Amino acid sequence: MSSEQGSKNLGSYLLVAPTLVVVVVFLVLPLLLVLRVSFLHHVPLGYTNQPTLENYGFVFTNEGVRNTLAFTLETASIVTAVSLLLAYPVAYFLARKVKSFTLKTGFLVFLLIPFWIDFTTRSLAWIPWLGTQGIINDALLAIGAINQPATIFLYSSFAMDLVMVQAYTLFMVAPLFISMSKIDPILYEAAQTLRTFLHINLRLTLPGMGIGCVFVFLSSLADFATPKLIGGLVTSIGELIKDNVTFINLPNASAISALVVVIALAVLVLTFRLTHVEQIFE
Amino acid sequence: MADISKYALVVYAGAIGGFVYAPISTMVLFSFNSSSRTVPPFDGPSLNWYNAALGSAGIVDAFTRSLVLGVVTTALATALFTLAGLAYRRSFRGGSFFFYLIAVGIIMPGITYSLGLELFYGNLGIPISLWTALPAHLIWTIPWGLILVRATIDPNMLVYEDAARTLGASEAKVMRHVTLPLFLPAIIGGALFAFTLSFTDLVRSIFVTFPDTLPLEIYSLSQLRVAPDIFAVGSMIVIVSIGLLLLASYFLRGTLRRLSL
Repeated sequence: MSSEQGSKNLGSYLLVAPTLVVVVVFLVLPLLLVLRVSFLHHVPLGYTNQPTLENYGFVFTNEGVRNTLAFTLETASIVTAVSLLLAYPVAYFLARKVKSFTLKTGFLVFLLIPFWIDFTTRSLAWIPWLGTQGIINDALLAIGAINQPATIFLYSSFAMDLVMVQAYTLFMVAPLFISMSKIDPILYEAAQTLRTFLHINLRLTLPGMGIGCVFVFLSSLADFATPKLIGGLVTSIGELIKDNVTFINLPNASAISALVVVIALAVLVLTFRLTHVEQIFE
Repeated sequence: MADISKYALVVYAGAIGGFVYAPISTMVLFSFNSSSRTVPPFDGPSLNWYNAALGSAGIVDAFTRSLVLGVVTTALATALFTLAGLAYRRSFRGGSFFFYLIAVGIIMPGITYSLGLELFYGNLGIPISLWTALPAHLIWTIPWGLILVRATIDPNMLVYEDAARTLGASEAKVMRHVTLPLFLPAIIGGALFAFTLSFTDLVRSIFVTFPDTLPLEIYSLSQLRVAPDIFAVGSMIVIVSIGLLLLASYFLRGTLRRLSL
């Protein structure tokens, strides 16, 4: 490496250094602290420095934690699958059928709106639609599909799934859109049958699917606010962490958090490997 | 056949658009309801709930705190992601690793991160205030700006810089007259992203903010009751957010164009 190259590299390090300092102090250290506290002994209103595995013992043997975790993983899977199915045709439409750049980006920007506002506003905005006297119940009563208002629409896991799908739509559509935009149109012309067409499209959009699914899955996994606001009696793993903090059992909160992070990392690494995500950056 | 599938796709995309936007538009409508109903029928327009929301000291104070925190977050985050983004004009050893490390701020479950930061302050004996939320907002907003700045980088940029140097421009002049103007749209876009994401953040702030910012305030209010005054606050957040989003996409149109090629 020439000395000129070396000095240019030094410049890059100096530029990125202030951000790295902030990230190490305020992100890496706090996360390591979560890991540390998850191995410490809980006492009322705090913890001692005495190492223990009792928090993990609690996390892995407690039925409530296990059920909550299972329910949250199920929710994240449903939300991810529904998002992918809903988003795929939209991404295809935008990437292949819409010619106008303004229309394409306008639609993508529009899809960002629910994510762009806060959790409370986003969730409560569904009340006029989902309530027992809401628009959907009114419509179903009017056409005679039901005899009395259905209560399952609001404050239910259905409502929670719906709001999560809405919130993260863009993050599924955008990566799919980018990978579809990169497909050479000649490949489509070469595809004579629907089967080859689907084969080409699915194979070449795998990296986009990977990024979209990981983002939606991880966002739903850690979401404590949507279940609390509109999920009714359901409990998510995020709420469990929050309840443990509220009742000042920080070691338990940390152990559950560490488990969530391990699951999140496993999902991330596995999906990125399986879908060859690095191809999207080429 | 091709036409039918195209129309089907248009209708489908329209339906998805409706799904995303319908609840938000009805919320805005019901924020103008003259009665306290949050479900149909709509009882006629009024500004009652806006008056109620703007007359509530709790909501107005929380709004002010969110605004102050948002502005400070934006200033610091923009300075940091701009510097970091400039580093990526050339590839450098560890650059990719640093990028992913910074991006952990987006991917990390927010509630876990907030807990970590609370433990961090607890260990140092720092009492929770509005300013203890600032690092959480920086960690959340910097990666978005960095991604936008990095997406703007184009191999030609270095050619322009070299051309300016060959013509005798000093490093400072190259930076001021060549490099920064090329990055400016992405920097402004990133700054608008930073402000909105800070202004609406709930999850990362939850354990490290006192007193409440606006998203925390309406979150706790909604645990007690759902009334149109929350819809009024929500509608104001929606309008401000959409305005900032449109402004950001105007500045980022060049970056968006590169991505959709």
